Amino acid sequence: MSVVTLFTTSFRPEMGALVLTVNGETRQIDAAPDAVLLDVLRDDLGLTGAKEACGRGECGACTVLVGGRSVLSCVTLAAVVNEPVETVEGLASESLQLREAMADLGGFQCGYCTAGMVVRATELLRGGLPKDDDALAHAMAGNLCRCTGYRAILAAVRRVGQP
Amino acid sequence: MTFARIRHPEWESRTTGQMDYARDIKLKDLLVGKVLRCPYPAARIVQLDVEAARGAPGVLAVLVGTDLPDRNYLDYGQADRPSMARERVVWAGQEVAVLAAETEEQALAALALIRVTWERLPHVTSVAQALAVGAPAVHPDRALDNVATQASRSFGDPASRGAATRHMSAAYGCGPQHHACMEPHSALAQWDAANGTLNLWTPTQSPRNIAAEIAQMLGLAPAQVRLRRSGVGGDFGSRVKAGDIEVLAAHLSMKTDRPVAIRLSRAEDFAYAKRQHETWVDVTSHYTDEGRILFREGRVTVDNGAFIQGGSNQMNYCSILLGSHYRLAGAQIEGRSVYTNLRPGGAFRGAGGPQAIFAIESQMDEIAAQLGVDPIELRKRNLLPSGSETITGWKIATTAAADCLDEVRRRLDWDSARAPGANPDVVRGVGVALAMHVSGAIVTPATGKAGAVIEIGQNGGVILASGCADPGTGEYAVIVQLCANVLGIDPGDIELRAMDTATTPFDPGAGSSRGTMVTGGAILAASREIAEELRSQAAEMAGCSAQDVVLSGGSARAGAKEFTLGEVAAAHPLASGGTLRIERETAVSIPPVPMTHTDSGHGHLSPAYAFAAHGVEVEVDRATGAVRVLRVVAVHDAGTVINPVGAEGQVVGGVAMGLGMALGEQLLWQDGRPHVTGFADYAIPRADGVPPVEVVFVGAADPAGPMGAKSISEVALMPVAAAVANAVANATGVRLRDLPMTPDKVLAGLADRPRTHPAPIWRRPEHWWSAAVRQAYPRGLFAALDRYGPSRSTSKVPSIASVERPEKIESALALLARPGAAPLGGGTDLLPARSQGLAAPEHLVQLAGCNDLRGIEDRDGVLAFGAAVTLADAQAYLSRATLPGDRALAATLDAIATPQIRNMATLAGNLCQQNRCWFLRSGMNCFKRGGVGRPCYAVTGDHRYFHSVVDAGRCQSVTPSDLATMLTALDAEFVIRGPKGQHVLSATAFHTGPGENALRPGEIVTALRISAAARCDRAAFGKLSLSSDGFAIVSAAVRLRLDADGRVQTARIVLGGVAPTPWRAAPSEERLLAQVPLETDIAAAADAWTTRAHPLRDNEWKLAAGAGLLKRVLSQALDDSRTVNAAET
Repeated sequence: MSVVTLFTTSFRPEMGALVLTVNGETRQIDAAPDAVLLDVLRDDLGLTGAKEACGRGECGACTVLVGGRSVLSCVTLAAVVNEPVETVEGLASESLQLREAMADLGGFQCGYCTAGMVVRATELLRGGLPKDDDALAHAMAGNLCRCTGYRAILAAVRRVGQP
Repeated sequence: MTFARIRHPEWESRTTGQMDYARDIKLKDLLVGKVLRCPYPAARIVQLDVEAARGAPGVLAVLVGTDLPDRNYLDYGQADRPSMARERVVWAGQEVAVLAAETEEQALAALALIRVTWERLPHVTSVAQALAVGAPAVHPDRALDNVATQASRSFGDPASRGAATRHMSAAYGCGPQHHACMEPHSALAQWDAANGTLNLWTPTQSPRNIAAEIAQMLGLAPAQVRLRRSGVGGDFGSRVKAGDIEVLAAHLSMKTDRPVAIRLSRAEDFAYAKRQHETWVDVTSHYTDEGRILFREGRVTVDNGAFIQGGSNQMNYCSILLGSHYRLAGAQIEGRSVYTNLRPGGAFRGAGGPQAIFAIESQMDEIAAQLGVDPIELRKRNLLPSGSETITGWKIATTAAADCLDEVRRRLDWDSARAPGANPDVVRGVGVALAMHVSGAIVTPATGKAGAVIEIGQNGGVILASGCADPGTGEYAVIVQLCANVLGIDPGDIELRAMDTATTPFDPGAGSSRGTMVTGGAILAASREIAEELRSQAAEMAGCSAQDVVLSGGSARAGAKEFTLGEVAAAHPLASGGTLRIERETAVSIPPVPMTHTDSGHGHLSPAYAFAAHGVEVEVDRATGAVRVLRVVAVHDAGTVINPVGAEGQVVGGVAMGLGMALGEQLLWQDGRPHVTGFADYAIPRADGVPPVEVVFVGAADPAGPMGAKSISEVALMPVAAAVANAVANATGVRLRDLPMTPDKVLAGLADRPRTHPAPIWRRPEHWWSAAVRQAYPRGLFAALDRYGPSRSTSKVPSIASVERPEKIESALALLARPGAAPLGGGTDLLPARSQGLAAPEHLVQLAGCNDLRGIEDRDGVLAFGAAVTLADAQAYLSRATLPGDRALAATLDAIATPQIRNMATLAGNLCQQNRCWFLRSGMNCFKRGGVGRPCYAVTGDHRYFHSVVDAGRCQSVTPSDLATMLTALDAEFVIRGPKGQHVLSATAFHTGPGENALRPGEIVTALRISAAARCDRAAFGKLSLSSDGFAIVSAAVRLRLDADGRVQTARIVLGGVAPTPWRAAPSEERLLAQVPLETDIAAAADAWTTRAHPLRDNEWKLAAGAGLLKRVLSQALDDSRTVNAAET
């Protein structure tokens, strides 16, 4: 179960800052109530790994972990985030094996979807991959890629997920 | 020679999020640029007043067309496109003004202050309209008949047509795809007045093309525009030449002396950035009784859009490829590109080649079928041998096309019978297609040459500089591998300088698959030259001859002596400061063959030609028209493969893009206005939509290519669509010639398709009024409502003032009682709807904080979910469910959207989501958005997939929630609480219209309940959609209770996607009641509801698809309680 941290139960502009724990670091950020998590990460915290590729929750390029679950940060209001956030930058070391496998197998080309892929795959690897390959593909279907055709990405995840 | 598998030189930065793409770059004092666009497909600017905008807070510059130099983009030479409209607008979305402000809010506010008076003009929004007699001219001063370019090409011997005994003609059409790069387009311009340099960060695979075009448009010298290095999130041709926003950002920066960024959203990218040109190929093959194709006649028609842009290039290459593929004796190809008042297209992977191949390879199979010859055998009878020359003048030094076909035959198990599917409605087939393509079309001297700089320092460090970019093509890996291979070093030891036009040598950029041939060739030549210098220097140092020196492991070995590369470099007489540097420009060995919209393009267009055969196995659901590709074998003759990891990736990526081209991707316009503006509407394949792809490389080194390499990236796309079409024909007997092959087209083609018709209109008085209105729409009613229909005023969406996260329901209800307050679930519909102007909350009350709303309880057999339980949590709870109703619910949840959406979205939020009509969501001012005076755009617009076939009123849309459909079948109850207390509403009563519900102000759903009895009944759910995450075209949820004799005691059959709300198919239920359901009963029940239908002009096919789906779902519910997911395309 996720950890619920009680920093704020409400956000109003006159109360000032948003408090977020991102990649293990707790930060106070001045943001408007309708600020989405993606913009806070990119613009206020300089974490530009997560990308805006659709702004509508349809492509997965903005995927980050909140409380260990993959969410679409472009349609997540920063004001309601009260669990730790992990971005691709924070997962660099945990995802090293996966990223090496992606590099060895061709699991990225232009790289624009890659942060989202790495984050989502990390969530899956933490919980144990589905045994069935179709199920794994279905589990990664929230992340669009226009370059690779996905097979090498799935192979990289599978390679790392084998015990 | 085999090259090692290496990691891409930028693998670390591309996988850790460290790579900066153009949109990631932050500059100090950056201004936000925004564009004002014309909403009409053709208009005259009567008055354009920007004074109020100029004076708005934070605005530093506003420019209109007449403020800019009167110059046109060169594009492919026709120079018909201005940077902004000056007096006449010719496509909906064309730029008329641009401004720069300190913040995005200020820029948008100022944009709204620009006053324009438009005079709407007659327009044409399709090629058919454009070519009709008396059609209005898009550019009266240039082409009264709207034909922008045309060419007539004769190849080979015209008399050879007479030697043929048979001929076959057909017309093939390829719909407009969109590049849909993951990185939407952007331009960041920074004018450096002190140095007279314009710095530009914009994604592109051809930096110098962009820099040169911008310089030309700005009146600068080419060297004054510096395109800077960044990551590039995809190109596929969309950024080979300048788009629209680079020049505008540059002008703003020069005007304000500040950096300015124009960054398109995804919706803007789909609507306003370049796309693929829609292309039709009419082809007639003249052949012998043995299937030797002697003569090919073709007519290519390309939709330019409002300016030529890539249209004539597409027409030219398509025409020439039509004359080149296979060993023809003659060909006559007519080509034209046509103006329409649509967003102009641009270069797209293959540049007309995929369309030519689709036509040729589809027709090859049609010929094979007619002659009774195996399709692979027929192709083999027509192959170009190595060493031959096509009638177009292409000299084919190497070709392994025969091997490609043989490998497909072998690996696809071609000759075996296809295993029959478990279901007679689901059939399998195999298909093949063969493609050929240039490895760089050398049409000008500049397209055939590239520079390279190599520096070796005394510490052994190697710097390689190339002007190329790498948007995912793997170009950086290719050049690094070539250089490392020659110098005998590890590729990881090369420092790569690329892309920046000020610090790298000339490069023509990627395009026509020239990367390995031209850029790679240049890097190879420079590497060999410096290697030779190193060897002779080392020979001198060792006292031996240069031939005896071996470069390997970072050293130069001469007999017993060994020197590091650094030592040798530093000692070289040409070294300066310890560094040996060479700079070389290398051209390919063949002269250019100009290819313009005249009878040109005859000659040896490329140093080498690549070949590929793709074989696919498909499964077609004859009940719904859904096509699923089960596996692909992709065999490529690419000569020597320099970068195996990258080359495989290009093939699989090309296959994926080809599947999209074949099965689902299409841009659509409603009278010239784009309404496909997001990935929910534009069906690019997802991870579970691309089957296993077996990639095989065959063939020998080609004498022309660097190390023997030929091209791969475009040819990988080219055979896919025809292979799929051929497999569909093999499986079903249906020949589809119009891409994409969506389920409606498959069903329409089936000879024995299910005949489900609505009852004649005179028997359905409840539909008379609606039928009359629908008749009136295309006869003037729609136009009148669209143009003159009054709209309720749409005020600006307010900012959100507060977001609360109460812990108790009572607090939530109190907060929701305030004016402007709205509940927030996961936000996955509310936030996009808000940005689309469909929700305007001021205060959000996030319900996930209320623990009372997040519980799941199974008590006394009743399953109760709190309203704020996420779809994922509900799915997890149900993952070990044994009761059939629970399992059907679990399967329904798994079919909804994507894992991330399911992690966030709540059950109640899913039920309450607004409708997904693409006209509404793309901003059109329809009945739903603007009130009773407004039309419904779906009546005359494209309503094939997502609109109602039953009982629609003013709004033709449907309720998108799959959960609603299944819960209605389960007779679920929703507990509702509001200011007046609590009450219970049945699922059936909850939805009142498309995405509309019975909640009154201040009310929320607090729980969903499913009875013990319903959970125990047999149940199943199935859905047809265009992609795995997509909204339902049609869905079916059924629940059946049988008595002790096996008779149907209770039947709930609910269809989604067919009516404004989840629809109880009462006639189908009645047909089953009291029956012991045999197959005939199931089939009859599945059809029974369709007599009540009232389809729109083009969606009657949903009746057959819905009946087919329902039959499957009913069978599954009765067979075993496992639920089924209908095969999606």
